[in-house]
Formats: sequence, structure tokens, C-alpha cells
Amino acid sequence: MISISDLSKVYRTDTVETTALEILNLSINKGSFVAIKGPSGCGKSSLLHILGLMDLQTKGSYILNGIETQSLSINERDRLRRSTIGFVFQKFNLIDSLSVFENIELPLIYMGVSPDNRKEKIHKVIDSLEISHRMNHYPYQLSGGQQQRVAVARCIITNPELILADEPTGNLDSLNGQQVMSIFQDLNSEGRTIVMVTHDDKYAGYAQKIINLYDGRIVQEA
Amino acid sequence: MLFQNIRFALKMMKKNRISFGIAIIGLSLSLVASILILSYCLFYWNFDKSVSSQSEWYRLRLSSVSSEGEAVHESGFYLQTAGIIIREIPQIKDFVIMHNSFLDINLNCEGKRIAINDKCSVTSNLPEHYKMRFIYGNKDSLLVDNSSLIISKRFSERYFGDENPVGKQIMVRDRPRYVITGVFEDLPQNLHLRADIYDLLPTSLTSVTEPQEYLLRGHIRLRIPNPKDVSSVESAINKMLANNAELSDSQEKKTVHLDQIRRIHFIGNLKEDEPTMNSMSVYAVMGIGALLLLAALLNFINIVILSWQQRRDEFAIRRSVGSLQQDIFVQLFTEYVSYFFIAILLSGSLYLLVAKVFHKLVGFYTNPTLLQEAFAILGMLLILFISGFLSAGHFSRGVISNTDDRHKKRAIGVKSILYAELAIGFLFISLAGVISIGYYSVINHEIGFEANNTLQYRYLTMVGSKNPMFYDSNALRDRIRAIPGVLYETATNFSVVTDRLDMDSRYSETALELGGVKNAQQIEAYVVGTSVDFFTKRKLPILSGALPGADKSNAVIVNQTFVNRFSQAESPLGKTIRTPGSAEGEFYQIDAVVNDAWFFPTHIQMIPMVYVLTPGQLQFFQITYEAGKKYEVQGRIDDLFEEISGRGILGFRSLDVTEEFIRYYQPDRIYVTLTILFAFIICAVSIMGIYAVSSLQFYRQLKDIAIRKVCGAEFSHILFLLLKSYVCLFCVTGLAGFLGSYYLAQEFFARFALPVGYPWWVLPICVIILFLVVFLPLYLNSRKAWKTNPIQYLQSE
Repeated sequence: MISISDLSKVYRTDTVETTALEILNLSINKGSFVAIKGPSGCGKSSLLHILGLMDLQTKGSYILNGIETQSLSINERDRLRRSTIGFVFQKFNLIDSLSVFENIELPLIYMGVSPDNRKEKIHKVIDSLEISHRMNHYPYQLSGGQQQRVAVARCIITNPELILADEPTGNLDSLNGQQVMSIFQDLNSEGRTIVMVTHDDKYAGYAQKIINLYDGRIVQEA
Repeated sequence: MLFQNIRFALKMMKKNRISFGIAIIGLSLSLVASILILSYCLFYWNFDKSVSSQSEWYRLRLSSVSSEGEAVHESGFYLQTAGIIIREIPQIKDFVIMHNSFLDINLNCEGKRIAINDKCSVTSNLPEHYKMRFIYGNKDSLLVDNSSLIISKRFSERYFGDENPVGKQIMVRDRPRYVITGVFEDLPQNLHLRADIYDLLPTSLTSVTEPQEYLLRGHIRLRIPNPKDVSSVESAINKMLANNAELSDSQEKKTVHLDQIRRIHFIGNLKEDEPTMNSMSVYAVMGIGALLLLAALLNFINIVILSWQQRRDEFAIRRSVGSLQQDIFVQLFTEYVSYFFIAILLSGSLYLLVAKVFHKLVGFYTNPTLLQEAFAILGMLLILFISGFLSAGHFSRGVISNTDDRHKKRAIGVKSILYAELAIGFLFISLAGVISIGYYSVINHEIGFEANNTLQYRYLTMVGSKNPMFYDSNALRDRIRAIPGVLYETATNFSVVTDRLDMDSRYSETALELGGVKNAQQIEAYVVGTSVDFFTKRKLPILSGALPGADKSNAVIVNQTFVNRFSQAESPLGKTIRTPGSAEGEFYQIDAVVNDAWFFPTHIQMIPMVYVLTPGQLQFFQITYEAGKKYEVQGRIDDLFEEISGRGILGFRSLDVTEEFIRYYQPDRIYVTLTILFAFIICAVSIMGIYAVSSLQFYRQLKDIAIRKVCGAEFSHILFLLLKSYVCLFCVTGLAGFLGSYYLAQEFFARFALPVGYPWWVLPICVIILFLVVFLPLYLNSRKAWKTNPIQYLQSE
């Protein structure tokens, strides 16, 4: 599903160049669960953002589902991301002024799904994640675990093939963290590809493959 | 430290070029516009305020009630009566009399013809009253006798160049009439009864002890130092008029009012002295100017504060490394002053560029005095320091304790200003569109007669004299026709171009009887005279009937308005017209109806006209010349009229018909120009306002936008997100602006008697312009939001 070859990412300012990723080669199969580990500043998030088409590599190739992403326009990248990728963040990134229902509904609106269909899909997802009783609440009225479940619901509502999770358990206690991980396991068992950035060995253990990054290079693949 | 702060400010400006560019240019434009608006308002505001001790002076005004029950005001008062009352009432300490006279014709100086069109005969204290500054002449011997003449610098330069003309003799034909005794600096344009030439009013006019049969009228000013005496002086004059009918020339009851000199310009409904601007309009223009400045200032502050908000982290770091609140204040204040100062410099340059053009457009020019310039600079600096102090103070405190409540209050204020500026913006956009179209249709209105390349000459004779002297008009016409370059000519006893229907232009409403002796219909129409060829040469369409032959002496022609008003039910052809009380056989018969012709600007209601066909005794000659030969023909006709002036008539006057028509619409043109100018400026300021507010909104929504982007939002979704919060603004301001502009456009159109249709099709165009004004800055910000990489607002580490 994902094929990366000789990929580099360099951040430049007027006087300083910082290499975040250096000549990475990596392939991730469809339906796999991959954890990316490494210390702070090793390039985990940079890699995740490139995989999520939110940032561009400086050099190298990134092929997603057979499409070379380097040559895509901003609009094409937006559309590919919308149809293929779902995100889960450490800080949940829910819109405070929208209710749980409206937050989950957002990607469907942008995809042009009809209101009836949206309602049906949302009910199905929030039932499966056991947050239907919080449907009309606002993010600030929810606990961290509940917020992350809403974020997961929003992520999977469009049925993406690839889920990118950036430290999804970073802001959760261990119980809520485990609950979120089990949701990811369920999603993976349904055939979704999951790429997760984490610090925690305990949660990395849920993945089928662990990639260790250090100073922008892959130092170990297990 | 200061230098470092300024350098930092310039660096920040370079970093946010677009935002600061919009802020600084917008503020500069508003500063210039406000200064120009202020100078425009001051021009009217200071009307007649340049006279000495102006608070002690009052103008005499007469009012009466017409037969229709309407109040009629007149600024002219009886000169002889004034002489009597001034002597009788002790509270009056001084007086000034001005009397416009046009009888000075056939003048020359050292063989050079001198045309005096606006001479004013005045009392000898006028130079002191008007605080005239003399370039040449002895102050003690300016207006000493009836031959003394003082002239303006402009007039002097026109006839004598740089030469000192004092002592030169002005002759009436070959007799000495005047001696120039002084040359004064041109009077300010905002002064009543400004003239280029003044001579001494004959003291005999005001020194009479008994009222005379023929009462001349003039502008009378009285000095009453004690304001408490004003009402008693008014009562005393009214009592004198009531008890001595011979003091006025009318049987109607006339009441005297004393108007303060500084207010006379704004007093309306005055016969022969209509104000060029009313005080409410001056207040309104001033209010708009102030709002424009306030809006631009707030927009500027918003953009600067936004740039500070984006640097919150930097200020937090500065605080953490030991910077005090006052250090941050000093830094912010220096930055603010630097940006504002650039705007002031830019506005100064812009002002120098546009001031002359603006003054040319509005038709006046006032040299700002050093004091005014100092006040303007002081005002700008005051605004700069107060706004900078408040903004920097507010923000430096906000860095430490920012509350939602403060944000909300500020947002409400900013939004209110945005609503006001957009509403005014739409008002001006639509008003500019509507009245420009209206004005265009008025000035291009078919005047109903052929008047291209036409000069009108009239010879002057003694008005009111029992035996006025006339020149044989047929002989004169023959001579005019013989002049090379003259295509054709016509003659009338009324002016074919005038902005006043009065005796001077030979329009007077006459009581008539329409129909037979028995059951005659009493009507009032304007009886004028011309020869029958006037209708063919000037191409007035004949609507019914036929032009009478030369042998029919009692034939008259009426216009369409006459028919509409008096004979709509049946054809007027063949009906008789007579003056009431005339003998059995004395009547005219209507032979033809011609189309209406606008011999006056369309401000004046079309009048019912009766053209009496009198080939002799016609004083007005319309001469159409070959294109390009105006000055050649004009010189020859001048010579001809100069020649005949020596044979019994007093002299002549001439004008260009097209130029006169253009002059009549000058105030309308100024209104249109100003409105268009306002529309442009307000559009620029509105764009700046929306840009500032949407930038703030965009900044606060960055995380939302980033999340939406991650959820699949495209550019159109982000644009719509920003746009939807402006829908209400767009609709409300559009509606309010439209209502305001509709009202003002109707007021503008009411200036014309000619019905001007409201061009509704302009409105959709104005709505599109308003939409673009709102859309453009939102589009720019949406593009910026869309291009922003969302990850920097969503990162967790």
C-alpha cells in the first residue's frame, strides 16, 4: 500500500538546514499494523505527515496505493487524503464549537454525503465505539478517553484504508489508552492499514511491525 | 533600545508585507480623505466668517406671505429706507450697504475695452468690514468719492498685468468715469457678495430724509454690538415699516429679520440668494469624514494587533527572560508609532498630489494657513499617540491577563464599525452609480432647440424707463448675418439661456384670459416675443397647427406645457388670448403648438409659454457660427455691438449658450464627483476593514481550519467557512446602504424639475461591487488559510 524510496526531508531557514528524515526506504502492506518508535526529534511525526500527504518530502518517492504523490497538485493531494487516509492525533483535535455528532459528520460533509446517509453512518460508528449517549455533547464536556473515541470515530467515518495515528494514547491514562488500542486492533482486523507513532513500548506491542527511527534514519525494523 | 525597536518594527513589516501594506495604504488614504473632507466642510463652515467682528453684524432680510400662502424671503432691502432707519435707531452702531450694479458698460482704459460684470457699489467702510488687504493704494483714500474704484488682484492682472494700476482713469466712451484707487488681494471664495470691483455707493441714496418713489434694493448689514438689542431693533424696524407704507414698495405686509452674518450662507428659500450648501449637509459630510477616519484607524489597529497576537510566543519568551510589562509596552508602542508614521508620511505625499485636483473638482481652492497646517499635523500626532498608547497598553496588559470578556467587547466594537463602514460604503457605491446615471441623463437631456456653437448677445436699455430705447432689431440682424462665419441668427425678447425666470432675463408671469370675452378662462402664462423664423431656425418641432404668415399680426404660438395645463380637453388652435381688461378687438389667436424648449436648466419647472410674434424691438440675438470660428465671429460681433452702443442704447452683454448650460449644472457635477470619490475611498477602507477582521478571524480559526483540512476540506469549503459569517453583514449593510442611497438619490433628483427615473438596473451592479468588496479580502485570507500547512497547528510534541 505504501512504498517509500530514498525519501528525505530537510527543513530550511535562512541560515540553518535541519535534516528530519534521511534517505528512508520503507514499504507497508495493505492491512498491516505498523508502529513507528523513536526518541523526540527523530523524525517520527515528519514521516507521519508525509505519509498523510500533509507535508512534502524534499527528495525521494512516496507511492500510495500505486499513485506517485510527489507530482500531485494540492487539490489532488487533498482529495486523495480525503478518500484514503484517516487521522488520529494525540491532542484529539476536535473542533470545540461543534458537537460530537457535528465533529464526526465533518468529513462526510466534505465528501458530499447526503444528510440521511451521514446520519446513518454516524449512528453506526458511535454505537460501535459506545459514545452514542454523548452525541450532543461538546468536546469540552467529555473525558480524554471519550474525546479520543470521538476522534477515532471521525477518522473512520469515511472508511479510510489507511489510519495514521500520532501518539493516540499520549494524552490518555492507561485504561483509556488500552481501550483505544483495542479499537485500533479491531479496525486492523477489519482490514484497515494502521501506522501509529508512539513512544510507549507497551502500545507499540499491539503492532505487527515496529520501525525504530533515530536521527531521521531507520535503525531497526522488527 | 529605541533604534533596535524601530529596526524590529521594520523587520516585522517586511515579514507581513501584504497586511501592513493594506493597513498603511488604507490609513493614508483615509487620512488624506479626512483632511480633504475637513477642508471642504471648513470652506462652507467659515462662510462669511472672515469679516471683522462678524458676531456683531446682521443682515437685513424681508419676508412676506405670497397670495398662495407661502412665505417669501428676500435678501434685498430698500436702500433709502435703510438710510432712514439707521439714523432713527440708536442701537445700530454701524452699517454696510452693498448694491450690485451692472450699468457700467462701454468702459475703456487707455484705449483697451474693459468689461465689468460684477461691480458692486458699497459704503466706504467695506474694505475694513471685509478685512481687505491692499497691494496698491493708500488706505486712507480708497473709496473717497463717486469716481473711486478699487479692484481685485485678479482683475488688475487681467487688464494691467504686473503694472500698478492705481491712478489710471477708466473712461465711459470718451468721458472720464473712474480712477483706480486701490488693488486688493483676491477675496476668499467663501464670502458673500464677492466682487472684483467696488465703487462708492452715492451717499444721496441713503441720506434721504423722506422716502422716495423709486426704492432701490441692496444688501444691508447692521452692526449691533449688544446681542440683547437685536430683537428690539427688529421690532423697531418692523414698527417703522408698518406705520409708514411708503418705506416699502409693496402693499403686502413685510416683516424684517436680522440674520447673523455667519449664518446667512445657510439660510434657504431666499429670492436671488440661494445657499450653495445647507448646514445639515455639512454636518453629514463631516460625520462621514470622521467615521471614515475612525474606521480606517480601527482597521489599522486591528491589523497591527493581529501581528502582535501572532507573536504571543515571542512576548512570553521575552517575559520569561526578564522583560517587564513596561518594556513590552515600549516595544509595541515604538512599533505602532513607526507604522503610523509611515502612513502619515505617505498621506502627506498623497495630499500634495491630490489636493489641487480635489479642489479643482469641487470648484474652490483655499490655501491652508500655517495655523491650519499646524493643527492638521498636531491632530494626526494626537491620534497617533492616543491610539498607539491605548493599543500598546491594551495589548501589553493582555499578554499577561487576556480575558474572553475583553475579546468579546472588542469584537462587538470592531463589528459595529465594520457594519457602519460597509453600510456607508454601499450607500456611496449605489448613490454614485445612481446619481451619475441621473446626472448624465440630465446633462444630455434634449433641450428642445438647436443651440450648438451659439452665442447670445443682448443690448441693454434702461429697465423700467417709460421710453426705453431700442435699436432696430431687423437692421441689426441684417448686419449680424453679413458677418463672415455666422451661419444663421435668431432674435428674441427673452434669454434662451437663463437660470432665473425674472425681469432681467425677460420672463414674467402674466395674467391672461383664454377664450372669448364671455366665459374666458383666467390663466397665468409667460408671454415672450420672437420672430417666426425662430421656430424653424432653432428647430422647435411644431406639434399642431402651422406657423403663421408674416401678414398675420395677432398670431401667437404656445408650447406643450401651455396646452397640458390649460387646454388639455380640446385643441387650443384658434382660441383667443387677451390681457384682462383689453378692448373688444385686442386679442391674439393661437395658430400653432410647439414642443417645450428648455431655455433654462432642468432645475426649473417647465413653464407655459405664449410666443408673441413681434419682429421689432428684440433685444436678444442668438448667433450660430461655423465650428472653429467662435473667437473670430465673437470679435466682429463685439465690434458691431460696440458701434451701436453709441446710438442710444446703453451697451451689450454676451455669453456662450453651451458654456452657460454647463455652468448651471456645476453644483450637481460637484455632488456627483464627490460621491464617486467617497465611493472609491470607502471601498478601499472597507476592503481594509474586512481584511483586518477576517485576518483576525482566520488567525483565531487556524486550528479549526487545519482540522477541517485534515478532514478533507478543499479551498471552496474554507472560503465558504469564512464567507458564511459575512452573509448577515452583507445583507444588513446592503439593505441599510440601499435605503440611505435611495433617499439621498431622491433628494438629488428632486433638484430637477425634469423627472429623472431611478435607474434600478444600477443596483445589481452595486450589489456585485459590494460583494466583491467583501469577497476580495476573504478570498485572499482563504487562499492563505488553504496554503497553510495544517501540521504546525495540530502537532503534539
